[in-house]
Amino acid sequence: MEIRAEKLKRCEMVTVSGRIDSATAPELENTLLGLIQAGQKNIVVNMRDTDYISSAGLKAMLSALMKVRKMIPAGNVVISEIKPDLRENFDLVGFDRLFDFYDQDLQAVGSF
Amino acid sequence: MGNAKTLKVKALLENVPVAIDFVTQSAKASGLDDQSLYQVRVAVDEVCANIVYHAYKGMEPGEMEISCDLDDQAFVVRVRDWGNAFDPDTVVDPDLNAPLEDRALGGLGLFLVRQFMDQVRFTFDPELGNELVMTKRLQVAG
Repeated sequence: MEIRAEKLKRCEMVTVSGRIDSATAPELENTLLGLIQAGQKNIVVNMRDTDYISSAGLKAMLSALMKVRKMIPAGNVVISEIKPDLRENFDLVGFDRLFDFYDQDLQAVGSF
Repeated sequence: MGNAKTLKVKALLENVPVAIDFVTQSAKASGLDDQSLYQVRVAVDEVCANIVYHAYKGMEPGEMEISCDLDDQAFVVRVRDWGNAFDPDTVVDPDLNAPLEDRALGGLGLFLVRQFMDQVRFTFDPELGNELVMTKRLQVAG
């Protein structure tokens, strides 16, 4: 798994490629929580090149979302360009109700 | 039972991707369609991660054994460990409707396994350890 983080004007763009499995999810969680701790509470996670996500990855995403939503004013973690198979993981565990999904980065960034 | 292939590795987090890759190769050779393949990979990840985190708690890390086979138009994965007895009934399903602040982080893995696989069966034997057998039906080409 590779993570690339790019600071944009209104948010951070985090691009994840490869697979978010039980072994790599801790790194994703650390990256997201690190960004949040450094003051970045608006994050787009681009999953165009993410091959798969297991529950460990879902938990990492949820953990980051919970953190930014508790801040005042609240931040957000949104997802862009997710593949259908991965989207199904989110839907099955009810995370589709919690996260905002966008087909393109432009829309995702524009949400902030 | 046909050409069962078996992998035995130490129950460590670094071996979870090894187990996933092993099953992926076998599943592809069995003709599993792409979506089913994705689901099987997630299920194997969940099961192996559970063994890594829970099976040998309080003792020396042991091993996990994964075997794959084709059985009557279904891809079968067996995962065995020799750790603490695991009772799946003690794992509570996640509350899918809970608002964000109330969402618990646990229970997702087993829930996904049951959603993705057609059959999931757990057994425990004092000698043979925990065995999980899960199957995924091969899609008939239309």
